[in-house]
Amino acid sequence: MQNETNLEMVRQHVSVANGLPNEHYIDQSVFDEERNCILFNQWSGLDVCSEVPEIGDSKPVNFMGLPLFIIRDTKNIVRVFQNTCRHRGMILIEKTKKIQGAIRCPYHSWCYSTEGKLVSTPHVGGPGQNTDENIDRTKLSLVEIRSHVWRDVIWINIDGTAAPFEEVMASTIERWKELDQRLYHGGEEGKFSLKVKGNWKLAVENYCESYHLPWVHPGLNSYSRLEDHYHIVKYGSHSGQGSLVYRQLTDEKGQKFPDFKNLSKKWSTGAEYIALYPNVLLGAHRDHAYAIILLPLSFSETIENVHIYYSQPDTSASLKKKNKDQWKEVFEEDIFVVEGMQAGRLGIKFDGGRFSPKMDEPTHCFHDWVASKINDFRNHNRQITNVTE
Amino acid sequence: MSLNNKILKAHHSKNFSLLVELYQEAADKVLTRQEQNYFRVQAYIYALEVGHHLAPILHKKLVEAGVEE
Repeated sequence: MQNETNLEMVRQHVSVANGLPNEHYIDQSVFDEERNCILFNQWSGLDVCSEVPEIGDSKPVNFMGLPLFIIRDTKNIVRVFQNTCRHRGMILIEKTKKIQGAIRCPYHSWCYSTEGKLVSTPHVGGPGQNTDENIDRTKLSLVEIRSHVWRDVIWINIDGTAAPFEEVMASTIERWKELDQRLYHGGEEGKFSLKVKGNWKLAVENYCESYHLPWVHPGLNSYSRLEDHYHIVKYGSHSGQGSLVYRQLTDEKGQKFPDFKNLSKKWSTGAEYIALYPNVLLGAHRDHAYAIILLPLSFSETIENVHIYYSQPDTSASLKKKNKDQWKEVFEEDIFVVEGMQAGRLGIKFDGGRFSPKMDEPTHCFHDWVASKINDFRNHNRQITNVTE
Repeated sequence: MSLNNKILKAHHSKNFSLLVELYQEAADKVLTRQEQNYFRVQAYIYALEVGHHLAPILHKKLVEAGVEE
């Protein structure tokens, strides 16, 4: 990037603001900048704990080029480590597997505990000698990434500078307090992935607002009209939409998923869909919930990992399949929009677009958040530069 | 089959539990202390990896030999 993008118009009131400039969707240098200032220094979603259900389970995950792995340690705590041996930088975990004892580097066999401690360094002091006066194991633990688990999602703050998770996400945690119950992952019928040829932010933008529903999801028109939805907008934090007319899914025998316990009346027909910035999309209903974690592959490619949860461990497999298929259909209907907006961003005379003040506030809320975080980062860097010059 | 061939076969099939036993057998057969430590280290590392019940015993022997922490 030769020059910083101008974000002044993004931060105006929704009635006059423009969206983020094109470079935020099509420029590698802006993608790299966003990696540092809105993904690595915030609480970003990485994966879910259900992917490592048992002690010793491990899984490599690449997050914007950073090799990481998640593991459930011997004390049943899910941890995130940089997937790099402290010896010669070899990748430690190449595929999902169960660690029975120690994590052994496949190169020179340095071994780490599931808590990340370096426990043995074979032949490091010569053949048959596992110690060397210059190798202090206590200083060579695996690099652990700061993480937090909420609603089964593993959130990471890579640069370690964000305020505590509970503080940053306080308003959403409070909003969904009564939903803070044990979630049971739907297993193989509770997950799927979509690969989208679009910038990750476009998936967030599309998720936030209900404006597109009558056009992109016409199947909803019969019972969930535009006026049955409301905006959820918290500038500086999150945005999304709610529905007043959620209908529970039933199977051929009339069975439904069991409800979460002690919910208020609001949830009888209510549903809420919140984008927790930067990259996690959550959905909540009386009888199921889901989390979508957006993993950016490049500025124009994103993986959407979808996980669906229930209030009980043993719910009907056929009903779970029906629910998964239904959500998959809805999310697939959104793909052409995300990919279309990505293609549209190549229009060099596009100015970031305008927002409907009545209908697009959740989307503007997200753009405003992105712009504010980038501005904070740039200002911080300028201060450091001024001090060091 | 020679012990060497058994070890190679176990490496090839990634049978790490068997490697623990074979390397320990090798450690018991060699003459010098250094050779013994070498093979015992091999046994210990694979024991660590698979959570083998012999891992603590091998660790103790290596510590006593002054080659492990």
